[in-house]
Amino acid sequence: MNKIGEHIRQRAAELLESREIDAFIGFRQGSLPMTTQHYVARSAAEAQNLVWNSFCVLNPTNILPSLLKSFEPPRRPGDPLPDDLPKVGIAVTGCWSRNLAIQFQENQASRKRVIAIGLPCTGMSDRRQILAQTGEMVTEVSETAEDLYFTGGTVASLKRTEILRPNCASCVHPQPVARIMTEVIEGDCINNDAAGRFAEVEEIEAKDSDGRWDWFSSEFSACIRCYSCRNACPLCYCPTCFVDDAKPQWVGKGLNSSDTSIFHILRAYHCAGRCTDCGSCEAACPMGLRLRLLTKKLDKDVVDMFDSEAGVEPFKPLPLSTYSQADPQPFIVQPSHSKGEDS
Amino acid sequence: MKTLKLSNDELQGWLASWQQKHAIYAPQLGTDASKPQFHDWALLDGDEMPQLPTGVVKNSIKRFYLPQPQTMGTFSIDKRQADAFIIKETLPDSAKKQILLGARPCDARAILLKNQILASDPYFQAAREKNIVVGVTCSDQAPTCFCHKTGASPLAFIGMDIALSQTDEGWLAEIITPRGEELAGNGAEASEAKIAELKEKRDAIKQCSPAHGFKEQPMQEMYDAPLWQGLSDRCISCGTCTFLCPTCTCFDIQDETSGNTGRRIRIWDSCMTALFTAHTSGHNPRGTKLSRVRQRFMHKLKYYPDDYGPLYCVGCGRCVRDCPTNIDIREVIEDLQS
Repeated sequence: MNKIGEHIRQRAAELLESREIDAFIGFRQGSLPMTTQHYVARSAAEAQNLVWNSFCVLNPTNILPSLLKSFEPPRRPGDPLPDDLPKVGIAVTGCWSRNLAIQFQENQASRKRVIAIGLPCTGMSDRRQILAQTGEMVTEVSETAEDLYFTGGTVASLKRTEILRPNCASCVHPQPVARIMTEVIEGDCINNDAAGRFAEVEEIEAKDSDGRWDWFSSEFSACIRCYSCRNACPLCYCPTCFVDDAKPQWVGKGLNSSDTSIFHILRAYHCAGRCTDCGSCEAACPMGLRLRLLTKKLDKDVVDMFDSEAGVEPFKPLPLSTYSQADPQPFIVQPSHSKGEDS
Repeated sequence: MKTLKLSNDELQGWLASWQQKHAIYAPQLGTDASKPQFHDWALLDGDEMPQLPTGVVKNSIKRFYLPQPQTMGTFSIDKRQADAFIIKETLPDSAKKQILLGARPCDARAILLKNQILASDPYFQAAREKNIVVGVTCSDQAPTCFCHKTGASPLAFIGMDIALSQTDEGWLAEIITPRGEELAGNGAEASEAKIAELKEKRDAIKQCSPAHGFKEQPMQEMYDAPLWQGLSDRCISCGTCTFLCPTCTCFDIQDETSGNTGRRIRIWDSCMTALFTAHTSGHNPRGTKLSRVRQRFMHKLKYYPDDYGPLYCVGCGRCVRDCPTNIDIREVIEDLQS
């Protein structure tokens, strides 16, 4: 971890020093133990603030499009962009690199303007899960490749494998997508068994329909509708989200369960075939909702139906924004139930 | 003010007798083990004193004063009815009291600070009537606690009806208001020595000046400070800070209908969202994230102190603990002071 951090600081400083890039997106230490902050370094000196540890949980590609845009000159609609716009550097792990691939495909970021440094990833840890075991009084945390050590907590150390975030524990693409990386830092990656990757989803799928409904109603009942899941997600970039529309108002603003459900169902569906299971939504949720279970279910469906995983093949069109005759289409070819009437 | 000395059993006796007459809400750990575990307010079933974590629980007692949502009135949308579309106001039933057991000093103080803004709000005033605060002072502070840096103290009792302080042998119960007097059960008066000991602990806490000198700082200088840019680069506009904040008070009003009836509700709103100030014309006077991030801090650190005196922050640290991007108001205060 320390070696990777050192490498990021050094490369970011070099790139900034040589003016190859104007800004570098990474993380810096937060104000509390086990927290980090998104950080944009704009000089070689600022690059020394970059850190890399087990608590870099918010997806950094989320701030890439707006940062790129901030370097663009004001212009009229339809006017072309100048060719020599400043570039931005970013350090990405497997899931984040797949988000980058999607941003390139969906024209949220220009590949020409991004210098991507691929990182090996051994998985991130869940601060809240740790605090539940150590108590709130932890004042300092240090880490090795295998363990985390705490000062001030009721527990002195924990194995990293025990407190991995569930998305990291089921991740099968820890390696950055090589084809869109400018350079890659070599190192050990987490090595999960692909067979159990959808176990969390299968557990819910196994319930009957009443059981699934009960699970859904209870899982999302604590939602306070702050939308931090949406705001922490690099896939959500609509200028006006459907829940913020006032004319017409699609969704009620109170905590009525039907309104909350609609938000969560639609948010998840908008991520179908695009979600990389980076866990940013869960890391951001103040109520600790397991939002990933919905998006993971859609990941599974897209794998089953379209044999496709978001961003893994960076130049292949996303399954839900293209059409192929091989797409599953039982809703079209299934014979009508009321035979004869429709013909 | 009377100070009683209670054993754990005696306090439990009080609880048992309160249970007969009132609903008691207290911080409790979630019962569903499959979900993330944290303490939050829930109706107390048994008559045992709940285990309070160090520092504050997930939500403040704000939800008992500004319910999410608050029904302000109901109406019929059946045009055949004579009273169609006429709103009938519904105030909370303040005669039916409920007890907030285990409120921390920061939360209790927050209600008093809110009262400056909501002094003539009938819903808030009815809720103040309804809720009896049996607070518990803090013998320890969590790493995110900083009430002593907002002009308050972890051992303060302001805003409480009864203040409980844990001691080696049990509890000291300070009976602060007539309502507290009415609620309190029997107990032996605490000895002079015990009372002096508590006072000594209170005096030992170094409180800072309530407004941090922000009242004297020129408004324009704070408004134009360079730090807002860095904060807004990182902020994801979720408003978790405002929702969890015990002092944040802003609300939105919406009408909801179902079948032939409707209700007018008041729900929490957040200055962190663009919609908060969006005009019908499409113009938004606070159209940038920077201006919204600045608004929250300026309201807490400058506008409110200018109007009412103290900071509009009680130092509970909930926003520090749960901000997804780790925006820390303590750092903002330090930055603005330097």
